[in-house]
Amino acid sequence: MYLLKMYRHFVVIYMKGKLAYHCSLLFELIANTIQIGIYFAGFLVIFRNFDNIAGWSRDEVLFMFTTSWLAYSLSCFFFWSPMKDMGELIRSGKFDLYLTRPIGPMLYMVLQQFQYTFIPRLVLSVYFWIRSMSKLSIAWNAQSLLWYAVNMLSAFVIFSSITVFTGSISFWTVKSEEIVSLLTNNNYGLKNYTDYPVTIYNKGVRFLLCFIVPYAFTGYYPVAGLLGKPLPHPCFAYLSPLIAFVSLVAAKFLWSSGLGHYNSAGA
Amino acid sequence: MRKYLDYSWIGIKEHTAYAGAVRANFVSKIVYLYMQFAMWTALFASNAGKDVPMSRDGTLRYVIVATILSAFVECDVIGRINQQIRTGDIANRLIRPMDFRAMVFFRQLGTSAAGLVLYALPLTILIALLYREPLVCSEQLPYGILSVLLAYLIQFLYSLIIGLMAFWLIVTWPLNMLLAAIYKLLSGAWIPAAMFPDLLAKINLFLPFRAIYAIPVSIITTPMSQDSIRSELGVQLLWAVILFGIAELTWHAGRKKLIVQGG
Repeated sequence: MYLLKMYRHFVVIYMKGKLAYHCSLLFELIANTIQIGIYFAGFLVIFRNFDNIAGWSRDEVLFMFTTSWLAYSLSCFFFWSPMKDMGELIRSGKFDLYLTRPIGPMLYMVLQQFQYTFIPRLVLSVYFWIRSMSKLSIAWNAQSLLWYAVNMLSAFVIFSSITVFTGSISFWTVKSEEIVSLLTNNNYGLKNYTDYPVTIYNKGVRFLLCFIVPYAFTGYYPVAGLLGKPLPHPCFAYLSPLIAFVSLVAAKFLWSSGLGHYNSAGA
Repeated sequence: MRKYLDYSWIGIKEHTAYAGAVRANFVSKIVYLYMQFAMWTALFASNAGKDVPMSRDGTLRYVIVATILSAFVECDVIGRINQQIRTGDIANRLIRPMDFRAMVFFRQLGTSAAGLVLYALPLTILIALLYREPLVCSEQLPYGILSVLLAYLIQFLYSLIIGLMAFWLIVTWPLNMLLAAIYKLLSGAWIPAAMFPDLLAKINLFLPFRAIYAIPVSIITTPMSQDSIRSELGVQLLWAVILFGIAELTWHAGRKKLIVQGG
């Protein structure tokens, strides 16, 4: 409970700082909305010319990747900004500051900010999520709803773990920004691969998306299970929680050993 | 001339200094290209018989050539000019006995030369080894190269104009982000312009974006009649002239507006 209270205080201070530049916040949100909107527009343009991809209709694909994007936006509210800055914090030695706080550095970094620039992505995802869901006839029942929620939570954990993982790499190599960008860049990042059914890629890439950077378990596999799509390995539809758990443990381990390894920037 | 070429040299050095960044950039282009390849292949494979404005091979050629072009056509002119104006650093440039615009242009030439050697050529070689279909219409290639040069000029002038907007705006990145998003869709760098719905295609006729990718890439990869090649080149030439005019106006108006902060 005290965490929530603390988070509220931090966010109020953070947003006050941002609001000091009146229009900048609004512009940021508008610019982000258009950026994400254009992505959806492009997606719709593609599916104006085609009916399906690998047996998935437009609405099925939309439902799949908005499921994943919802979890991604929520995860990024907390983890994206601190982990993106890790390289810079370590290079400049500013990370020392977080070590002197009375709460753990990770907790502090997550709580002290709120990455509101992901709001447009969240809002647009919710819009297209509802729209695509209403066009699909999914037989929801208590069981499938609960399972979907568990998978959504798993997707949140997987995304957060990957982000923390990439941030932790900064403890060893100082240039982690390149890895972050390689994974999450809106134009060419690996994350974009999961906007389409992973069966369109070759075996190596599929393995990469399943077991090395497990993006495929944030949307494709659980949604394929829900929609009753044929899968080469049907059991994969139930693996998301397990993958989430493993990623969490791996990220936690890498972060802790990184902390142990850190010995400031000198001076 | 010598002094301008030195700027090109700076541009080259700037982009080759960090081997790690070069590697990451190269990998990111392959990541992007493979995704496009897989996506379009799957789309055509699962929609056999549907009437699509382009063929599978035509689309793949288009996407590959557009990605290779982007390796040296894209530039960081907007960001650099923005920063120089915002920090007041531009004053240091203006007192030099050189034309500011030419300075920016030659530096950009250097960046593009680096992009050509570091990314475009290796990508071309890699693709030639992996994708064994012909990529270009060889008889149209001379026109294609001319079109790429025009596209390069248009891209530069466009970036110059947007970069100079910093004279009037305090925060420039939202505008840049907005335009980058529109640019990504309308230029045809991402989705071939032939697949656009009518409304979008009509809007696009009145905007310069398609002159940067859609026109040169189509000339290089799609067989066209002499007449349509000539009219497309004419469109590019027209845009180059229009943007040159706007860039001149913006530059002269902007210089009057310039107030360098601090004493």
